[in-house]
Amino acid sequence: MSNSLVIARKEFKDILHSGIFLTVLLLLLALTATSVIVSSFVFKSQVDSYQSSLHILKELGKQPGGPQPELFPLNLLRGVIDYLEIVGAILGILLGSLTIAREKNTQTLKLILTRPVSRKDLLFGKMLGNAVFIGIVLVFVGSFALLSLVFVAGAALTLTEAAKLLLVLAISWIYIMAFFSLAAFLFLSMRSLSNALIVAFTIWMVFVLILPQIGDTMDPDNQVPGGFFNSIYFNKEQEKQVLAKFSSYETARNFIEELSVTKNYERTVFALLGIKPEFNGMQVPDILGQKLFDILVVMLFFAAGILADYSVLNKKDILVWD
Amino acid sequence: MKYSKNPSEKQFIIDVRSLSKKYGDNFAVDGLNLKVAEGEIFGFLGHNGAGKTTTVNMLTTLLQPTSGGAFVAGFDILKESVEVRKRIGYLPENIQLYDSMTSYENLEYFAKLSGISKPEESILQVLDFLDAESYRDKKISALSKGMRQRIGIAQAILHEPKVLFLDEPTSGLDPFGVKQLRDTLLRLNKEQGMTIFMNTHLLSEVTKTCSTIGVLSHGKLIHSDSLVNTMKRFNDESSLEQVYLTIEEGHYEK
Ligand SMILES: Nc1ncnc2c1ncn2[C@@H]1O[C@H](COP(=O)(O)OP(=O)(O)OP(=O)(O)O)[C@@H](O)[C@H]1O
Ligand SMILES: [Mg+2]
Repeated sequence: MSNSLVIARKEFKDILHSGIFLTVLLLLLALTATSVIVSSFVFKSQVDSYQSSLHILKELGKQPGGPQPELFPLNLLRGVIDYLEIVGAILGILLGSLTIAREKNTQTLKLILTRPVSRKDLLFGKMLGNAVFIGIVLVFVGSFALLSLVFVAGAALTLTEAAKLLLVLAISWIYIMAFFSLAAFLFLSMRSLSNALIVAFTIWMVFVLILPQIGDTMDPDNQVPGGFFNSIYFNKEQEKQVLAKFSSYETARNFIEELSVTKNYERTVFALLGIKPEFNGMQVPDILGQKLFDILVVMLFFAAGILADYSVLNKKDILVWD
Repeated sequence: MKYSKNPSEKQFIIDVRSLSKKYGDNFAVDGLNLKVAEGEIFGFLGHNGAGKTTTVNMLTTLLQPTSGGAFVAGFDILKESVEVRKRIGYLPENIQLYDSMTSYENLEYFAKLSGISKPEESILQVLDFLDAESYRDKKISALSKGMRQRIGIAQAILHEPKVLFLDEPTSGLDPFGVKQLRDTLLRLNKEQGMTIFMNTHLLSEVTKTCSTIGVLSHGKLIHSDSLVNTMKRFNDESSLEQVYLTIEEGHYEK
């Protein structure tokens, strides 16, 4: 246990001392921050324009006709999630690759393994150090989003919304750690580090970019801005009737999307943030219940990664190459 | 301590029994039986690819044998690997440490992982012993090969191991560095009674440092005896190089 802590501390320090890595991270955080701020301003202008039109109506002596537009501040975080899906996976892959590649190049992994440190402690220490770092990055992103929502958009979060935000961060953390363990596995088990890098980024492309993209492209509703069914004046009921005729097509599309852990992550987090309106009124446990399958897939992916790392570390031969 | 005993009651701190390692269809180490008594400086000789590194990797618990086993410092390398690791030090060939950290930080990290409660004291002692205090706060990346080697040795002896394994420790060192290394090893052996197991090609060094030698050829041990006996058996006047070549050639003729 204390060995794990020693290793975790060193991992954490190594990350902080890696200049190039931190520069990349700052760049990515800046992108994410821009997305939050821009959407906060959009939100604020929506509220403002509603208020001013309300004012004009009142001056004209009329009552507002339609219902007040409902604005859900958490919706603004969609952009953040779009970044986290892509960038978070890269962050996990980079950290997972670095933690192994660094020690393989210097042979220090060999030295550690001739010390009385169990391989379990080694794995746990490395995971812990990186998990804490990723946690801090996420807390940073979350706080930034929160501050921007409150001060730029002028939105107040309810307690439920705050809880949802926290859950989103927790699931994002698991999602990123899953990619971390995957990359660590590749770098542990492959002899050539450059090949491991190629495989890691191919997997990243397939899971994070290609599979979700296929799913999106196959979605008929995505073909026209504002929604295909909207554009031909179909209501939800009619849309359902049409889609029922294409049920095997829908199953195939769904299946492809389920193959990508990124999509499972996205579905869960989008539900929590209420990107699809039907989730907005729902209680947290109900949302989690509905998205249980997606949550389980993300967790399974992470668990499989840890298991793979551990079994590779226990295969002694793998560590002794020059 | 439960060192295995031979009939003459001598204690063997390294006791290798039918140890083999197979890569694909080839044996890198082939049914190796070898005993090293406590307090010896053992020189492990053999041609390139003979299986020396593979043997050391198995004895230091890094590599899983295909068959057979060994006891190091009284513990089974297979079943009690953590106990073995507590009692050994290891200097791999061409050691590299964490480049971006200072010598002290490197040593502190390995000291902690070795379970040393007061790292500072041990580190200062070892640096003093190796006459390397001046590298203390230098980054590893700023050290020459010879200096780095000394910090590598510091790393290997910090926790006062019973057995020190060195893989080609002289490779890349200048004559001055080689002499310094030799003096260090002799002092460690004399002052702390440390058993030293050294893979090497440098026969002149073996003559000056080792008390016992073993010769490995194609994974098999073809000779093992004290240096004195070896030289006697092969006519005192010839050099160790001559003796070594005779041993190897005799093996090839068989
Ligand atoms: N990971 C590996 N995979 C396949 N074969 C290997 C591996 N490691 C070593 N070998 C083979 O095992 C044999 C013994 O290698 P080893 O490195 O133990 O020799 P050595 O005596 O240390 O040689 P050198 O003096 O060159 O360091 C060689 O034939 C080598 O090619
Ligand atoms: Mg070798």
